[in-house]
Amino acid sequence: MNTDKASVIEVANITKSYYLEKPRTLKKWFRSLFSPYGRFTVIKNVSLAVNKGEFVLVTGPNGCGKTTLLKLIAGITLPDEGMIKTTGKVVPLIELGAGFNYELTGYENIITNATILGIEKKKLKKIVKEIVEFSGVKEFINTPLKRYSSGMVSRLAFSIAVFSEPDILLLDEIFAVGDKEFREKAINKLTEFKKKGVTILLCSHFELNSSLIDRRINLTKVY
Amino acid sequence: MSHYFQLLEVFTLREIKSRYKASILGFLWIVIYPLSTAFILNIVFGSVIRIQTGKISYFLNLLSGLLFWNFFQQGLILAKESLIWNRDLVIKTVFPKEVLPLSYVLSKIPDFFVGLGIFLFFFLLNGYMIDLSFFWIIIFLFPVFLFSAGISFIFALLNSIFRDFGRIIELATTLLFYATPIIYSDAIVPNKLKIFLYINPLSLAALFMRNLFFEKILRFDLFLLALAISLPVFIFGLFFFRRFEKKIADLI
Repeated sequence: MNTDKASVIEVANITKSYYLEKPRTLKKWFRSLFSPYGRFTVIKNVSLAVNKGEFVLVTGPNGCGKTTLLKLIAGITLPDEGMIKTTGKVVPLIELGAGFNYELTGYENIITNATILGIEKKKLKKIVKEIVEFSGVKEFINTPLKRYSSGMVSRLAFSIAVFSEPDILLLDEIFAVGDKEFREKAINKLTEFKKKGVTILLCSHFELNSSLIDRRINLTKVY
Repeated sequence: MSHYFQLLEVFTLREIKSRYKASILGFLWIVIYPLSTAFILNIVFGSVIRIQTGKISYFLNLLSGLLFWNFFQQGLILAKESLIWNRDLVIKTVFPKEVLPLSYVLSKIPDFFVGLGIFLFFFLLNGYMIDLSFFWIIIFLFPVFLFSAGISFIFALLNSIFRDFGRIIELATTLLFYATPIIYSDAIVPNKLKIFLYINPLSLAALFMRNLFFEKILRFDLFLLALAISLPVFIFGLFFFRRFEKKIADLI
């Protein structure tokens, strides 16, 4: 299905650095006016173009900027230099279950998280059952999340994300959690997505040996 | 736009629901909290210090002052922490982040109506009659909401970067509490200080409420004045927040 060659992610010469130590208090901040904090460059002059429907695996060691790259593409944070352009609905899954409220039930968390991922109210009512079904935590859906195992939390989070109908899916280390069954389920879903022409960027420490992958990018540390 | 309101709705409901989970008394706290604050203040300033409030009973004067104040102060106290509490959402997801402080302010609306119910209960108990025109009190929620939200935007953002601002706003709120005619009546404010009653939307709210309930006078001028002050605060707060929104994820 890779006939459409229009690039949906364009990253041009981006550089991103973070504060090494955040000026946490006013006192420190005043001092930082005179001796600015060191900045820590994570991504230096990176360019990338991803075509529609492409599955890109980004690998590299800890701290090489994989997550930062995803955050930049998603628009969570802005680059210091360079330009990023995306076409279509971007759904970032930087962490499974980011923003879950552990006092609330699984069901209540589906509603919140799905809304953050941009699922409309009307549609949500229709698909909420499917999400519950897919997650495999049906019996516990009215139990507060704090009683869930971490695997259950991940499954629930992944289920919400896959039902958000992304054009571009940004996944960060999602295979690090969950059991074999979950991994298979997830890979099946990604295969389905790929057939539909969804562009996928997956960050991983591991070399994923799968026919799904069209391109591999290896990021190296810049410092 | 509809997505924006959906976000607001979902976050507000989430906050209301989660607030009383893992508590035994649950939603009863909405009643217990304002009542106990009012009783304590009543004992200290009404029975011991004996501040005079004219023909209005001290307790009713207090409750009418506390109604909008509680909405403002409790909303702000939550909203200033909104970005810190939702750090994960801020640094890992994409959505208009101003929804966070806004939803904490909105989550105090049910408390407002419970507070109004408490006031009406004691109002009737004191032998007053309910009048249909009392419904007008609800319109003042609008300027007070704008004012609370505007300040919440600014301090939620600043507090997420420098925790000092959380302390500063707490201190400023305490000052504002004494500058607002809650534990006293506006009648005892010296003339040269009266100006402060009219530049503070919360004191305007207290004046509006007392005029409406005890004099049966609808003071639209107070409403408009409050709106004229609150609206610029809201707009400034929102612009300020949006200006630095994308920086929060790096600095929080």
